Amino acid sequence: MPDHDVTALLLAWGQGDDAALGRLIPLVERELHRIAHACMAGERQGHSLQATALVNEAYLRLVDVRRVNWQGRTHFLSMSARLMRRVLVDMARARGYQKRGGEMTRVTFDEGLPVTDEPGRDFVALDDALRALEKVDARKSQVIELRFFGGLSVEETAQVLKVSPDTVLRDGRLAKSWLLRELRAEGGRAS
Amino acid sequence: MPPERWPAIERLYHAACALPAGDRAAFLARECGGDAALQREVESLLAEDGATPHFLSEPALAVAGAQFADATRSNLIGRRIGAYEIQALLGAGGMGEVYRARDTQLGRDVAIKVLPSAFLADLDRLARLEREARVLASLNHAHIGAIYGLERVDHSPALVLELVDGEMLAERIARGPIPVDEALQIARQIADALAAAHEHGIIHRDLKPANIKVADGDTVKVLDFGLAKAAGPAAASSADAMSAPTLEPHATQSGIILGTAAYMSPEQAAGKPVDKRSDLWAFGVVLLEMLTGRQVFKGDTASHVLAAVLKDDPDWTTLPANTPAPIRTLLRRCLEKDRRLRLDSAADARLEIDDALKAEPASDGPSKGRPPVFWGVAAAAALVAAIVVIVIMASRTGPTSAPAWMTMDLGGDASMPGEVGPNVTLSPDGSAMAFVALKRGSNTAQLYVRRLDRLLATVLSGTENAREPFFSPDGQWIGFFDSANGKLKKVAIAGGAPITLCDAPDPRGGTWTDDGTIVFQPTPDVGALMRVAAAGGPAEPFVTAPDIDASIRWPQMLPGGKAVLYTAGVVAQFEAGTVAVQRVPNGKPTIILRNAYYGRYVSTGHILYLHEGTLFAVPFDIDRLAVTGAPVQLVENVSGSPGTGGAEFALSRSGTLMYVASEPAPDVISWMDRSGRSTVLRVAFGIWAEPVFSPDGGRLAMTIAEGGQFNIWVYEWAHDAATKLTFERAGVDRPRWTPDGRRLAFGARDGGSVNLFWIRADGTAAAQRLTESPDRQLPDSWHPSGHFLAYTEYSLDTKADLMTLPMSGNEASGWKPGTPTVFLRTPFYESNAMFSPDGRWIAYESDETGRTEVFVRPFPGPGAKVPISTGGGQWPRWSPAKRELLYRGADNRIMAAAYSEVGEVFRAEKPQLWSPRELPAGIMRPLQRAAFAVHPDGERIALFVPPDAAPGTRDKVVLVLNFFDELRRLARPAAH
Repeated sequence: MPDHDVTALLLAWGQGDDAALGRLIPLVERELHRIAHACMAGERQGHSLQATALVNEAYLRLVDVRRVNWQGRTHFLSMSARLMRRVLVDMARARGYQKRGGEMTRVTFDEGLPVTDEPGRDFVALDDALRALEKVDARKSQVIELRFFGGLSVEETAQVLKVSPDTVLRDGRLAKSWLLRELRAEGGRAS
Repeated sequence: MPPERWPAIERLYHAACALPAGDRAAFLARECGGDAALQREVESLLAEDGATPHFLSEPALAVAGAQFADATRSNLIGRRIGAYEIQALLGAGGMGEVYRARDTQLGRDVAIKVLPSAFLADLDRLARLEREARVLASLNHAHIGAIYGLERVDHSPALVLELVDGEMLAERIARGPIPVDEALQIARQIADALAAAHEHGIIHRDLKPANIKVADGDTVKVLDFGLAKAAGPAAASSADAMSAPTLEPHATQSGIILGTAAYMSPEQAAGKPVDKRSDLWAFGVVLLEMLTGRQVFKGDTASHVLAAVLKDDPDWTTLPANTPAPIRTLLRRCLEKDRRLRLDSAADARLEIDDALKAEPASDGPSKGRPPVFWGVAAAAALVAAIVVIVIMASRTGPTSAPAWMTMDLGGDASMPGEVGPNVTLSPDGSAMAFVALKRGSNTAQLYVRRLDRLLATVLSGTENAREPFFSPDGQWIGFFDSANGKLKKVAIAGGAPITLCDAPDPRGGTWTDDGTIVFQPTPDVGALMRVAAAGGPAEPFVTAPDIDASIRWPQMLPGGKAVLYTAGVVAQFEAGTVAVQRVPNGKPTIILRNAYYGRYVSTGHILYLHEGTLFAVPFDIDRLAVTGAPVQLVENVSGSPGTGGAEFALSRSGTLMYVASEPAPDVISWMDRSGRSTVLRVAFGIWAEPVFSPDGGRLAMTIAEGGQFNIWVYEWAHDAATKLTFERAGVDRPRWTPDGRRLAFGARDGGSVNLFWIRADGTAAAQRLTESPDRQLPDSWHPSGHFLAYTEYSLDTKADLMTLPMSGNEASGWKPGTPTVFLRTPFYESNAMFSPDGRWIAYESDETGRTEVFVRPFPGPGAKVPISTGGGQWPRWSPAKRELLYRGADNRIMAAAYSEVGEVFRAEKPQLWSPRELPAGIMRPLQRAAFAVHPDGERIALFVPPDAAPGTRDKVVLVLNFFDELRRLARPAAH
């Protein structure tokens, strides 16, 4: 069931109503938790196409793109990507804080769980790197925001940025290299 | 690097990327002309290019999802949670970690069970856990492990439990059979615990020796009561055993899965809803295991265990010779596979055991080698008992009528407004409906009335801008709000001008009481409900809800007029809303349901409400104004708005349920050719998926979801005619043409799991079953000979495997399905087994490399697999006309791999883009249903795409007649 309220709130936020963001975030977080649950419970857990399907479904449930008129659609898509980035980074930050905070020590009970340090999984670091990239080339940073955080297709991203799909692909390629280099440098500094 | 150098960096980077890796260094050296910093900069970027292929390759949401799933936990030892100091870890298992903690207030030790964080992931599940914990906390029983409270630790709920020292019954059984007397003492206490819980409507659902503790030698405590239900996924209807009690999806330790499966009742194993008889089954298994010291239902894998539960009889010969006869009978009555024949009272079980314990020890019982006489007696006794049970059940419930479901057009060319709200209602006698709708082409909503036995609805004139209609008790009038003028009005259904009653600037619902007043909410800002005489007069405040810090709305006067039911919540957050009841005029609000909205009382003694698009019912005692049982899920996809807390369902006093299904707009079918050009063919009705062309290309079979039901349809191009082939069978999916185009195989549920069926494509005969299996099966493709059907079988331990079903016979003499054989079974997920046009190969998808890719293997094998896709692939489809294998690539484009067969070797070329065009975003349907079909000409595909256009027309309602019997059957109040 499309959640019309998210659509309405996103539109309101897009039109400058900052209070709408405060109401959006809990709704989106709830949805994310549901995805997480679905990823765990799904018969195809760990299956990347399945995750994509879930995300797609969640996105469709969250935002009823059909309700947004075509003129407003690209703006809307970029706002939703921004929202996703904001929520995911905030959540990751909150979680990281808990892990590191206080006198707690981290113990893994499930020995079998792979602890991944794969780049791109630490949203806080990625967010920082994206900010740095934004200073160098804002559009490339936005390509990543739209594609990665917003889950937009190449063609949708092209529409939002008013460039050709080819440019989106080229931007994305360079942006990834740039970000990877930045993340490695950051990781090096941190350790 | 200074910013002005960036354009140069970018240009060089892309230029170098276009070159073979070996040529890049020379190219850069030349281009940079000695600018070492620039060259270093570009080289350092190029070094990253493609080095980490998975970097940002999946959307952030998917990454986040996986992270939630993988989240490791913090050790809590030494932390303080509320009044509890965590002291030591007692254990960690499928349901989370258990700690020993000190209650600093009461000075006692407790156990704290921290549940997986996924609980918070699901508000519904959490709400159920909270509800369940509350009921469990009220169960003060000597043999039930007590629940003291529910706390929250970081992002996980934590149950505070009685700390029970002692040995798990599982450990005890592992040491060998327990002497009969001792076993009966233990069983007696278990039965006592079950009886007490069942009396309160609580079902354990996961009774097993690992949940039973034997303390101080012989005092028994049953643990984790009802948690399986509270913890389980919301949709308990799924047939796969994954939805079973404490089966952890993540638990690769097969011990956990086996441990639970072995005690699961046949109905649980088959994915059916459980009741207290399921506990009695588990009780029987536990008792039998205590006496024999052996596992009753065994198997190498969970699937095999479940199969044993469904099929095998326990080995009664392992019972010790001195087992008393009444206990043998008791065991048989508990382990009756058909639950209608099973013992249904734990209290009776306890009495049986009591009697056996009192009687002289049965030293002269039949020995293992001499069963005949006694078995006959026992079987006869069981049979008599079963017949008695059936007779009692039949007399208790009386005749009931099955509900009848139908989808009905609103009538005329009207459709409901896009905004969801309680704009449909039924007259009390169920003979008429009233609804708010717009005439085609108009923007003004009006009130319509339709007698259900008429084809057309009538507009009530003068009702422009009407909303939220409600009937008078005699059904002759309709109250409604005029949203343009902010008034409450009434209109006679016989016609005539509406009469204005009073102001209602921004209304949220009204209710017409038996004593001739209307109670309504004039505006959501006011925490009070107003009342006005239906005959006219001044409006006055009716009830206020001072304790509720939220907007209250959607009132309904309960029969007798002594109390009012309403929804309270915050705008846009009604999924977290509450349903409350309040005595009038001076009562206080009592919250009866949380995470619920739009509560409606029904004369069967239930309250119906919406939660996350699903209609639930909960038994409700109108005298005590209290919920008296557990909520039950009734109907999915019911339209409601978490924004306003209003919902589109209504009930008549005569037992009819009407609702609007919340379905997305219908799909569009279009052609897409290799150039990426697409042509819209027609607008579909409902949601279409799994399309497949008939061999001659003239017909398209597909799954269509309509009103929450799936059916197989066949669509004929030439006549633009669609025919529904399957009716009233659940889980119908994935039609697959036989090579002669005469029949369609499909998956469906007819009791048990989804298995394979087939049906004549012209619909001239009923569907026939092809396979019978506890595992879910879906057909993939037919061998061109028509003698093999490849299908995917889903199992717990090997995920999804490829199978083939041999078919012997021919059209003239009839067909007969043979014994299925495994084509490919691995621990990975294989599916979509597609026979090549010549039948020598099977293309399929598998995630053995960590991502889903398309492979080809020889049929029937053996032979090596040939990888086809690179970088992800799904839904392989052979081109019928060309030597080409198409599939959906990871970047959501159709790819095509040309192939050749040289002798026994299958050689595939590097896949090329079949069409440059990306598939529409909506192509990824929920549940992984394929949404394209290759036409036999191989030049075009048919695509099912959700439209980008305006929301679909909402011009249908679903009617469920005889709903009350169903309601009574499903949602029973707990016994007192």
